[in-house]
This record gives sequence, structure tokens and C-alpha cells, in this order.
Amino acid sequence: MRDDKRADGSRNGNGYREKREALQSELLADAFGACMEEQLSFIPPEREIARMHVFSERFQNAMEELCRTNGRLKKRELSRREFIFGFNRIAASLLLMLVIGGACVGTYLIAEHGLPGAGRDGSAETAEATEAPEEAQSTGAAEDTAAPEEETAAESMGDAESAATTDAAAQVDPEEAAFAGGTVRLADEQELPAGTGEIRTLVSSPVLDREAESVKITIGNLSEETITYRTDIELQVYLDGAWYVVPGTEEGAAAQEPRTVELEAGMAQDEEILLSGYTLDFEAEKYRAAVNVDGSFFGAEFRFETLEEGLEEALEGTLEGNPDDAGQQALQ
Amino acid sequence: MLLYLSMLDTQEEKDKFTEIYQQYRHFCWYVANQLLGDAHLAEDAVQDAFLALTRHLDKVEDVESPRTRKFLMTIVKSKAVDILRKQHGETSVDELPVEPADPGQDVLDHYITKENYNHLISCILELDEAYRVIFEYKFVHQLQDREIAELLDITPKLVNVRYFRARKKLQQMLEKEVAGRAGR
Repeated sequence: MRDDKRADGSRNGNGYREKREALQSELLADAFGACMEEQLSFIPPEREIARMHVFSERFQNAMEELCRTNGRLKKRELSRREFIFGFNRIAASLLLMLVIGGACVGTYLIAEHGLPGAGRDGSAETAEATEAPEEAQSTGAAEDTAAPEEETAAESMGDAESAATTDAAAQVDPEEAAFAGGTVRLADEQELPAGTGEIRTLVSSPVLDREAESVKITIGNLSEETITYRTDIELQVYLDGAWYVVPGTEEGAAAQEPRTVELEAGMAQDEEILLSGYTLDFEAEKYRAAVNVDGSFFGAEFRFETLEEGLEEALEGTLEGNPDDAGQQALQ
Repeated sequence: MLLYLSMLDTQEEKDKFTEIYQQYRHFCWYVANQLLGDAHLAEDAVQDAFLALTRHLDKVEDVESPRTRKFLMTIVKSKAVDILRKQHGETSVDELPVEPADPGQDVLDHYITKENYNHLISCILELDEAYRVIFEYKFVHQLQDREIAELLDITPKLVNVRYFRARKKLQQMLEKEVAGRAGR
């Protein structure tokens, strides 16, 4: 019977198929509608339910706010809460990284170039250290200073090959990094707050689906005055401890014409970055959207979920496995 | 965009939203509580549902109509299902598509006939709510995948995956139901 129907369908062509699909859609709509009616028939009237349950104060407050603002302030309040948690953690992490990074860089620079103004004395010490390395190693404290001084001495000996290598390394632009098959430029400002007491920026979801076509950024103006922001929001990626600007593709740049938007006091506004306008690496640790609000930059961070990698693999794997078992487990 | 948003955020919209809330809050809570069995989680589902509704008020034409009641029921059920998923920590598994995109395996159409209407009804009544809501959004409320994705806060692709999974489940149930009738 099934085969007969298939044969009929192919014989009568697309018109028949479309008609059949429409009929089936109608039938499904009727059936599901009827089942909903049945479900509804078991639900007591509002007044009766109201006697069964008194809404909590938390719920009532939240809903009052939602009614008052049609969902807008609600989003902003959530943002504030998330902001406090998120920003404190990020700020603490950044501070720690800066302290450690500063100490490391400082140590490295002193080792490479010596202390500024240490000139001749330093050279003398270096020479001394080179002459008597064993002596220098005899105490722990001396060991720390001897090693970099040895390097300095080696440099001063004028090893041409070594110098050439150092020069070549210096020519590699430290302001650039390799990313997604291209290069990205170091962001001008590394530390960007997600907001202040008066301005908030937040992405719609801190973790994005890899299939996401865009990322939505909410800019909130909690101040008493109108603010302005630029819609050419910069996408930045976090690589090896620093933020880099992800360049947009030509098509992406053409699709999003930059402009300045005024945001009235107490209002929030959503902006979108179309991800199709960028070449991205979903494995990157994190991204952020850098928004220019009244000349100051704010950064709203997000990343791509690793789950979607599994999604793609699972799409292929399902051809072999038993799909329904997995689906059942997922829903039970 | 500002102009568009300001148009949406009119006093009329706010009044409409408040009216819907006043009229259906207990109903929504009841529906959510039936699924979740927890009064406070049901409140969360109601809150999520109304938040989703703020972005889709245009789909509500008449606040009093049975259509609106049905639409709210589907939204709140889908939000309750989301809470259940999160509660059981199964989000990641759920997001995995389990259906191969093989139209040859999808023979649900062959069972959707007037003759099988009663079987279809009994299968739908037994169908898990997680599957039902997708069908309801698609067929009863006539929403596009993109619109459903917005309401569920997932990608349209994932909506499609869930729809195919739901189709497959309904197909299996109908196969059994129809085979049972033939056996009798």
C-alpha cells in the first residue's frame, strides 16, 4: 500500500505532492489542535488556580517589572547581576595576570638589557661573573644574577650569528598574531570593562552556538543623560593572553554600515555582529565585542560552545547508531 | 532599528502584555506545574514564557481568543521542558541530533491520513511534551523555524533537528498503533 502511494506521488508530480503535504499539514494541525483542546479542558479556571497557588514575592516583583517595561528592564537587571559576578571575576583574573605578566616581563627585560643606568658597573659585574662562574654558583643568590649576566656577557662578545638571529626575531611584529589562517592585530586597549555604573554592555549569551549567525550585544544606558555609541562594534579574540582585533571580511564590512546611535537615559538597545562577516576559530578561548560608547570602549565577552563540535560528529555518527535510544535518554 | 524598537515598545504593547499576564498567569503556572511538579520551578517557567512573549507580542491578535490561550500553553510548556532538561543536566545530550538527514527513512507522511486520524490523536496524546511542543509551534501556531528558534532560544538548525526527532518518534508510535489495529 505504501509503495502504491509512493508510485502515485511520483506519477502526479509536484502538484500532487504539494497538495498532499498541505492536506497532511492541515490534518496535523487539526489533530494537535484537538489534543490541545483536550489538555485545556482539564485545566481549571483562573480563579480556582489562584486559590491553589499564591505567587511568590520574587515572582511578583519580577513580573511587575516585566509588565512595566515590556521585558526591557528585566533584561537589564539580569545584566547587572551577571555583570557584577562576571566583571569581578574577570577583573581579578586580569589583575593577577597583569601582576604576573609585569613581573615576568620586568625580569626578562632586566636580564636582556640590564638595569637602566647600570652601565659600566654592570659590565664589570658581568665580566666578573663570566670569569668565575663556579664561584658565582656557590650561593643561591649569586646563581640568580649570574645566569642573565652570562647571557649579557655572551652578547657583548659580539657573536655575529646570535645577533643576526636576535634581529630577525625583533623584526617579527609583536603586535600581530596568527589566527584562523590569517593575522590579527593587537587591540589598542587590552583591558576593557563590560560597563560602568551608568553604561552596560552584554552579549545575549556568554556561550554561542557554532551555528550562530550573529552575536547580539545589548548596550544599556543607566545614566540620566543620553549617550551615543558607534555601531561598528569591533570583534576581538583572546590569544595567548592578549586581545587581538579580528578583521572583518569585505562582504561583512559592506553589509554593516557604521553609524552613531543615540541612546536615551534608561534605555537599552540591541546591536548585532554578523558572524558571517568574519573568519573565526571556534576553538579560540574567548571573544569580545568592543563597543565605543561616548569615546570609551567597553567589552562584552563570549565564546563558542565546544558542544557543537560533537553536534557535527553526531550528525555523521547517527547514520550507524540507533538514534532513537539516544533521543529517549535525552528527554527522559 | 531604534525607530522599530520604539514602535514595538508603545503603551499599547505594554497594555496588551499586562492584559495577557493578568489573564493567563495562573493558567500558565498550572500548565507548568503539571509538567514540573514544583511550584517555584513552575513560576520560573512562567517568567521565561512571558519574557519570550515580550518579543512575540505581534503573534497575539486577540488577548481573549482561544488561539492566544493555546499559544501561551505551548510557550509555557516549552519553557517547562527546557527547565526539565537543564535540571537533568541533559542539555548537551539533547542538543545532539540523532536523526540522519535521510528522507527515505521518514515515512510519517504515509501514516498521516484521514483514515488514521483517531490513531494519530491517541499517539499525540501519548507523545512526550518535548516533541509535542515542536509540532504545536509548527502546525497549530504556523511558526517558521526561525520564529520557533527565537522562542526557544536555540538555533533554527536545532529546531529542525528536534522536529525530525519528533517526527521520527510520532512515526514509530503510529507504526505500532496501526500494526496493532491490523493485528486486532
